[in-house]
Amino acid sequence: MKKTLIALLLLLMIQLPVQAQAATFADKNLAQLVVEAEQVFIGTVVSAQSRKLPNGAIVTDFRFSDVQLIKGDTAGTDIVLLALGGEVDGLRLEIPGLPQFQRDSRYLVFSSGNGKDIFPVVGGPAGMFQIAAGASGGNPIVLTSSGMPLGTAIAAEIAGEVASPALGAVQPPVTLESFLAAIKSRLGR
Amino acid sequence: MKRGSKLLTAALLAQLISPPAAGFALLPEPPAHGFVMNLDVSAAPFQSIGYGLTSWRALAELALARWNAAGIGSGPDFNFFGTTNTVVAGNACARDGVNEVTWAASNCGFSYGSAIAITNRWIVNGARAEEDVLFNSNVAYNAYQGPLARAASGSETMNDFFRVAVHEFGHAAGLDHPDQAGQTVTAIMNSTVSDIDALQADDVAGARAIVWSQASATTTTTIATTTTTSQMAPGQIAMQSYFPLRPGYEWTYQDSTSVRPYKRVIGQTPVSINGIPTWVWSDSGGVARYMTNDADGIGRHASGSQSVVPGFGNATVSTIYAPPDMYVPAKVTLGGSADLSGTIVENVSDGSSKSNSYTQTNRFGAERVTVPAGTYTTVRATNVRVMNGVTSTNTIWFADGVGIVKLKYEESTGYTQTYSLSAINFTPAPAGAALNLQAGWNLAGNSSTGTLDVAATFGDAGNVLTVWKWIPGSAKWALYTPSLTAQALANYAGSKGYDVLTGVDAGEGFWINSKAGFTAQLPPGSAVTAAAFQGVASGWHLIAIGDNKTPRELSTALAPTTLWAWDAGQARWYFHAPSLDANGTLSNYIATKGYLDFGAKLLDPVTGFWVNVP
Repeated sequence: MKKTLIALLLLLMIQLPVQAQAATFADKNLAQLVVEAEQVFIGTVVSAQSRKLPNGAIVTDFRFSDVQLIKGDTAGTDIVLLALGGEVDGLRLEIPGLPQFQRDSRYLVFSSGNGKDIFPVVGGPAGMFQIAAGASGGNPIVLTSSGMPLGTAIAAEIAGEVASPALGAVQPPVTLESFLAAIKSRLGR
Repeated sequence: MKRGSKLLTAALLAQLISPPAAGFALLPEPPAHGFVMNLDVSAAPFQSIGYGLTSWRALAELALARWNAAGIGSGPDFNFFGTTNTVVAGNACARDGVNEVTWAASNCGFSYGSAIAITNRWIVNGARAEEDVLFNSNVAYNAYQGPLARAASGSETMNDFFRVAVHEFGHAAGLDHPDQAGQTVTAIMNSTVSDIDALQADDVAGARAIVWSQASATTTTTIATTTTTSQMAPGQIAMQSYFPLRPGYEWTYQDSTSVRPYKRVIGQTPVSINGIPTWVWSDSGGVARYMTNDADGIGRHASGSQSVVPGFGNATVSTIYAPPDMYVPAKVTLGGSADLSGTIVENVSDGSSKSNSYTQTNRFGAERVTVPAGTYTTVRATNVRVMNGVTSTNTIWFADGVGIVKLKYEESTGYTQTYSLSAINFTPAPAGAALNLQAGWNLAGNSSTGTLDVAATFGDAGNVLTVWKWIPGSAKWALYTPSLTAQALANYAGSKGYDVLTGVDAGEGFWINSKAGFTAQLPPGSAVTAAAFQGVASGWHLIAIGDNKTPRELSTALAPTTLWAWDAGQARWYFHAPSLDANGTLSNYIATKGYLDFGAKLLDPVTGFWVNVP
């Protein structure tokens, strides 16, 4: 039954192509994030170093430390993601709609196109999740890129249910543990 | 006291109505200046799906015009965006001083990912100094209205250039994605392209909330770029207010072939030609043209000569055009064209007649032009006529509320003549100024000398609940609602002691309770100035002015005890009291009462406001 529902969801997505606009990214469900990501990892942003390219564009290297790799390979202990935008000598380049990694924040990241795409995360904000401490020191929870509770669709996907708009914001928070379990399930582990 | 209690009731009623949830999202940095965009996209015509014969550039111009019509900032600035007169090769990957708008296969060497267009914002000293817009040339684009369509291959979206351009220029103006800011609103600024193909109320409210002072704008006029109404098809512009035929209106031009100024004047009374009332539009060269500007468009019905003071003497009609010689249709599509080929049957005054057939193609675009009188955002109409073996090209630049600001005549013989506007003798009409209404209560005003036809303007029951006007003489309200028939409305209004509202006259304000956000338009006319209210009777008046005064400036002409304007978005009152302003306690009083301070905010042509005159 669960597979049938997921198949139906995928079919709907095929029939109604998701439109991406502006510095904006196509929404992605968990299955797509897992499949399309070259790397999936958890890490903490320890530095954000901007520099100017020869063509005049400004880019920023985000360095992630304390990395827990879930999918893909990494050459070292840290991972560096390159994104368009940043500030050099008082001149700042910004792209509306492009999410921002915040220093000292910890993220779950579905990365792809590093060094090639304007923002090397699958689906932009859809593929980066903040990790926050759970209530009363409980299990860490997963929030959206902007620190909001997860949307009903992906939360339901993790929980193995069909999304219900009526749940709204009162749905229970998604723990990192359950999120990782859902990822690993889709990776066949 | 009775008047006061009714006003209080209205005010309480307005405050009790819950405003719509706060919408839109602003980018943190204000613009350093208005943006002149370099539309480095092709001007070559192509047959679009939904906009007829158009071009990418024309569509981009139209998208900019939409934001200008909405107005940027609280002023608002209706000329925030301009376009360069000449397209140059800009670099979107660097801050080069050019606001580049172009196609590109990558963004500075980086893949777009799933984005179809991107705006690169360059920020210096905390202000946005340059905006570069890139359209992803790897994906399919066309232009159409309504629901999103598929590309021919069937698997991809056929992107609509116009709505994407509107979205990107919204970023350039200063708006972010409301949905990514946690809001659920209907807006073209949402991050995902959708069936929404035009600005929504939330977008307009956001544009008006951008921190931008019209006073610091680099432009010289505040004339709306387009005259959109909720009934008009996307991309169309109604030309009526672009050619004001008003008694005594006078335009002075520089003539490229003469050192003498060239004038055109409208006569004082209409003249009937073939039973049709026309306005005599005569020039300092002694030529009179008998013009109409109506549902058929702008047309010439006759020509003649005039030997006395232009516009005031009797003209001798020498030629009658049947059918009339049409300059432009009533509605034009920027980037589009119209075939106005036909035959002019000239009935000459000596009794003879001659017939001349011609082919004529009119093309329309938007252009920002600078002439001695100022800089204007215009509709450019280029008509190429072939008649009697001679090809002539007339290019006319029309500015909303102003009329013809530039005219260039070229013949295949090599003859060229250009007229450039240097002065007008009237205040440009606020006609065409967009009246952007939000869901809920709006306090609006008609600062045009024309009367606003309430049923014609607010007759859509899908948008409008009620419209109210205060009648000072009888101290009562006049009501209109599109949900009742005329008879039912009369019965209801009579039972409640209201009048039936049919028109909002020059300089009057009015309340409108809207079901949804939508855009309406003020009627054609010149601007009612603050000076018109000097000596107004004591008591409460709900008024509007068209000369953009601050409350402090208005007080020198009107000297009210108090002045109030309603902010629909915040559901709060703006307040001003000259006496408190004079003794320095106004700001403190406003703070203690929770009102809003006008500060430098202007009483713009579409704002209605209360004044209590001692």
